[in-house]
Amino acid sequence: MTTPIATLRGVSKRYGSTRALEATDLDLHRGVIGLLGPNGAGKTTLLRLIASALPPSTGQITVAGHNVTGTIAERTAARRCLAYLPQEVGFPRGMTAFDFLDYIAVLKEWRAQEERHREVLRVLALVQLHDRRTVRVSALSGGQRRRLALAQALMGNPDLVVLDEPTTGLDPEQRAALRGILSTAAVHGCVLLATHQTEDVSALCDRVIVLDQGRVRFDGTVPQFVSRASGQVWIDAAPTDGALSSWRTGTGAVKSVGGRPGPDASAVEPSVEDAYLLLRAEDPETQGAMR
Amino acid sequence: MTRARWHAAPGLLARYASGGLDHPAQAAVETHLAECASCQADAAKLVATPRLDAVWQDVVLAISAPPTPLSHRVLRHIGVPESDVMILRSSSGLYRPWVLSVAGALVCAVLTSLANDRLQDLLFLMVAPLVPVLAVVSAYDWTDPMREIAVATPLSKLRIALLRTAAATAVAVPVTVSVGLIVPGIGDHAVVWLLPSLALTLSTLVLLTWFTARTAGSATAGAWAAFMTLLYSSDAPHVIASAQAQVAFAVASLLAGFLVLRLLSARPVGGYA
Repeated sequence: MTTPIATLRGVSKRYGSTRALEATDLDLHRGVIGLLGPNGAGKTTLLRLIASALPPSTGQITVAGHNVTGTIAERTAARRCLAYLPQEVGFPRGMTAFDFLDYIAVLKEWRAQEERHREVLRVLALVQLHDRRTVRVSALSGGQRRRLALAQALMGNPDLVVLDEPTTGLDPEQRAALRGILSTAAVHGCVLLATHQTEDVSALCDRVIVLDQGRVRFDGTVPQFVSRASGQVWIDAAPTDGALSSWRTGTGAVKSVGGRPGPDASAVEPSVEDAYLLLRAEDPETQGAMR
Repeated sequence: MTRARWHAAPGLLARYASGGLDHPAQAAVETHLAECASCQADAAKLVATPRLDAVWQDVVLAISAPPTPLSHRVLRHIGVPESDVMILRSSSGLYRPWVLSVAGALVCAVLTSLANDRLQDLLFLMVAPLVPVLAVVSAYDWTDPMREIAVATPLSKLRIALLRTAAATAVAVPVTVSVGLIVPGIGDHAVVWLLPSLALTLSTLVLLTWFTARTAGSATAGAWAAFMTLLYSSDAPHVIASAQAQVAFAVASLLAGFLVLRLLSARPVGGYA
């Protein structure tokens, strides 16, 4: 096993009396890792902790061998190796797309102007915004702003890229392009992305982590995750008894996740979404909400 | 393009393509190439693709970067590092603290010019030191929409915080001093408020490492207003102007400044360092 790019040991986070993240141990290796979970599961808290945007209540985090929870010098060294895309990005008024990235590049310690501008143009081209570089951010569409925010995370090819719902607001073509960019970034580093789009996980990720109520409920490869749902997804003329979820597909047949299949039901290959629904239903505390 | 009467020798073109000519010879060849299609074609075959790409990239870079605004060219000219200029340039929201500073100074001017002599001193000494505090607090509330991204970057947050403070007070202090000089009857008090204001502004920065800008600003303003009201009820607002009080404010400023440096380097505005 290779040396992990980031590690978490006993990391937890409390907000007053609310425990947002239980003590968690994780090793993040090269590749794309998908973080799934319902709203309020602790995904954003976990990402912010790893991105050094939030101090943990307990535990130790390292990025590229530097202790994020240690001295300022160590944390600064860790920050030189990571990039973070928050769920919501605020843009200063009056800035063009180029200005925004140029400013972030300064924050990332790109001091030489020519080198910095080259990098800004490179990432603008990467997210297909090169021709919009002189347009004010306020005049960009939602999808273009999201791509611009993503571009700042790709600057300098960091070892660890932490992305909170990067595909929100992107059309299918842009999402496909983004998958290409992220899979390239994952060749030499680790891309950790939180998402509600299970198809992004199946299309892109090597590994999936499912978080619920501040606890890691699953951590493994995508095939391992999907195989958990094997033999529990059915196609039939009617919903199966006790199904977690069922819907009529385009062919007219009804697909059901979980439950007791009828005599004419036939098992079908499960998806990441099916496995996610079944995993969520295993927790007695969430069963009420699922049905 | 006109038909040239001569053609460059292959050896000359080869040296031009490899960058081996001196500037006069290079300029002569370029002048000829501009009007000779045949030599252009020959030269194009001799220039290595990576060199062409590098030249093209330089052209793209030169035309892609937006022009630097005059104010920032001036800052760079007087020796402000480019990275600091960029941080100030990003603080487009500083216009709001600047507007608030001017508004605060105007309120101060109106209040003091309408008040009687005794109340005038109190109002000026109560409001004037809080104008820079208002500017700094509003700078932290509004100038950093990218706080979430910025906090995860390696650049010193202390540097960013102090640059913003300097930019916010650069307008607040001169306009408030001007009010003191313009409004009749203020006299020596036109500058007496500066040290209390420095102490209050630095104390607010200390509070900003724990509390929101609004809470920190309100706490500082409330404490100062209570202190001044106490002095007024004791009929002693002029104590502020005494040498002992000014020394006390200077010492308080030094202590608060020391705390700001210690705290902001460990725990900057907004939380985690």
